[in-house]
Amino acid sequence: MSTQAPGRPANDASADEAAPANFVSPSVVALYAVLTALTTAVTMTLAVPFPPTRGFFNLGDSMVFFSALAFGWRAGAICGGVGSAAADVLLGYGYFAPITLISKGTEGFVAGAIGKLRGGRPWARVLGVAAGGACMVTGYFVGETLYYGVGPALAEVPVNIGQAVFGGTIGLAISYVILVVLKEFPRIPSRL
Amino acid sequence: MTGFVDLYTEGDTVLHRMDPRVKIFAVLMLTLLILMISSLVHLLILLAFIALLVALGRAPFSKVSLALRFVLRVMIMIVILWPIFDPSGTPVLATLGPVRITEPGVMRGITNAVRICCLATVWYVLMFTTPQRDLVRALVKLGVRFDFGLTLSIALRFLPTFSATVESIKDAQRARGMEFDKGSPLRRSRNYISVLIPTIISALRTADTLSLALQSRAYGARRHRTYLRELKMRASDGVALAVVVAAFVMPAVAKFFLKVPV
Amino acid sequence: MDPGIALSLRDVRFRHRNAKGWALDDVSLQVRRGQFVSVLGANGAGKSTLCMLVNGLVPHTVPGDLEGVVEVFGADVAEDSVAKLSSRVGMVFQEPESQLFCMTVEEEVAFGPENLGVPADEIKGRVEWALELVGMAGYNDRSPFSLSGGQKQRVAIAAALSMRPDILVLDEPAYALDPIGRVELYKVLRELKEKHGMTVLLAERDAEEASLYSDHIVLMENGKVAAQGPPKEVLADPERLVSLGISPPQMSEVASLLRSRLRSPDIDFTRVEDAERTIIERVLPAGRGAAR
Repeated sequence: MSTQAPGRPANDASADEAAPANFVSPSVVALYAVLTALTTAVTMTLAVPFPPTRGFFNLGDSMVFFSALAFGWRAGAICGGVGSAAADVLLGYGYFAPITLISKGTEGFVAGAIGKLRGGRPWARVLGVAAGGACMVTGYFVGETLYYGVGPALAEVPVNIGQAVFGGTIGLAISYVILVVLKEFPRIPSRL
Repeated sequence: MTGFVDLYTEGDTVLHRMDPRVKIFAVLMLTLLILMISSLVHLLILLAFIALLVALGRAPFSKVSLALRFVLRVMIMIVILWPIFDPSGTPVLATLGPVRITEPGVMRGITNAVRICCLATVWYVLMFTTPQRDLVRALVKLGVRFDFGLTLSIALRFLPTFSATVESIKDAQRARGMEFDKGSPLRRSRNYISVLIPTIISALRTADTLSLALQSRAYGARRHRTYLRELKMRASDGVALAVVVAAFVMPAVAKFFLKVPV
Repeated sequence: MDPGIALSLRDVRFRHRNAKGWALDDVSLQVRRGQFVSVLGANGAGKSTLCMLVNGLVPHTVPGDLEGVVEVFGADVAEDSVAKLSSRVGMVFQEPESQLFCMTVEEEVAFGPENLGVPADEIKGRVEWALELVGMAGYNDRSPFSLSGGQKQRVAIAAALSMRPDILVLDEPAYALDPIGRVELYKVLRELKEKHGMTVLLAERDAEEASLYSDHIVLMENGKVAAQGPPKEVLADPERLVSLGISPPQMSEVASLLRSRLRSPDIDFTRVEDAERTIIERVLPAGRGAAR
């Protein structure tokens, strides 16, 4: 057990010499990291079985919508897009990640941008979710057509619509509940 | 269907030791190559090569079969649905009302299914042999801003934490008699909301402490930060790079300049 | 300025933005270099605010009104940035899981010095040194997620130590830990004090360990200093501690019991060995006398 610390260069002086970095603020790093992780985690772990085809929805969209409605379009686009694309990469469908990044990123961007109109009235939020969901479904349709052909892409459309509706409803509901809770976290930057 | 899986498996193979930047570049090149090739035979040769890489990376059987299950599902879907929407060419194999199935249509379906199989497996090789932190480190070394890379790596760090939170809350709700697989869509949404809200609150609490912890550890103290570990390119990485570039450039030249079908 | 003084608070008041009451009200205290000082108090007594004041999170990140003077090694906290203070003040928070944000233990411990621009070779030495000190050597490539609560807190300590701070501030580090985790943690803190002479400011609501290691104890209630002084004096009255929402150390409870039973106000001890000697010398003869 060495009791002697390795020699210490002057931290103190060097911190003065160099100007601080112009990084994104730590609270934004923390918030975006957490929202991204939530999106990825929910996409990867919360899958809802639905009877007609025994397929699965995942609830990832609810987190994209939640991020967008509670924290604005930037959070929606970045955390929604990157979080969902990361789930693709981690599950091994990395080749599909660019399409997910664009589709879900647009979904979050549109939901956040429209959702805040008129101070975030309920109709604006519903409209935002609907428009965002439509962007996602369209984006996936185009992407899947490129990769899988028109047939499989068409077959996925109802699944994606179901996912958008389900995720949109849940995301909307959550965004209202969490806005109340957010007051208890004065250090979390809301509405960026 | 639920549960968190990390595809990466520890190992000391050639692929594990390769510089992650080279691996990412190689996967991107191979992706382009796969998208460029249109001959079924060439795609099958490529698939054999990728299968060799999977074997080289010594991926465990359980993870390979998990990956194959996903790939097979997509492949079957393509093989069945592609010909229905692509009725061009002759000979016609079957006619069913307005639907016409042709031999070229079937062949194109199969080709595309094999292409998707190639694409998926190339990415699986990357994920099987590269730890997440190396992927992020490679991105930062390839020019992604440090703070963006840090955000991504923090997100990946908390991924298992939040997945565990989701699972434990789901279990707790289940113990209270809540059912997630039954009931009307409205009831199900309500049940999922009851899982997501506590998860989000605990995540926001994490974000709160996290921002304090980041500052306490001198985040952003100096413009020029140092790095304990640097990525180093070795001779073998150079060789791998050369092979991948050649594998892409030769067919590309053949296809676009010599007009040879590949 | 006296170079022997690590931390000095003079008439400090702090009110969180939009809050009515003072989180800290008229707090004055001094920590000398190499001292181990414990701040004891219930939830909401102002311990966390006090801790965050030392590395500047209060008032720079946690907004509010600050009155009085807070000096860390002679430098006014209100004038320095958190990033600058963080190289002198090591900070460990209550929550084990959310203060570790890197993918491996090694990256976690290297994160601080990397931000300070310390050369890689030097960081390597510091990481090994800090992990060895907290008993986590060899865990370099483990993910923080896979560690126990006690291990996480020790990694958090290592991550603070690798910046080579002059004072270590710990805000209820044992709060979320099981008994084994607590023991491991306090073993590290004792070693820091005894072998390395580290200046430590520890917030706790359990007086047990604080009674053993502290040179000076501050009792807090509703943002005010209720009492401060050497552990023997401050911890002598277990009932008072309970009324402040602090769990008293078991030995001082025993001492207090003996004082009232034997009607001898001079009985006082905080260590098991002293308790044993007192009982052998005073309780047992009295018992034999009664039997005779």
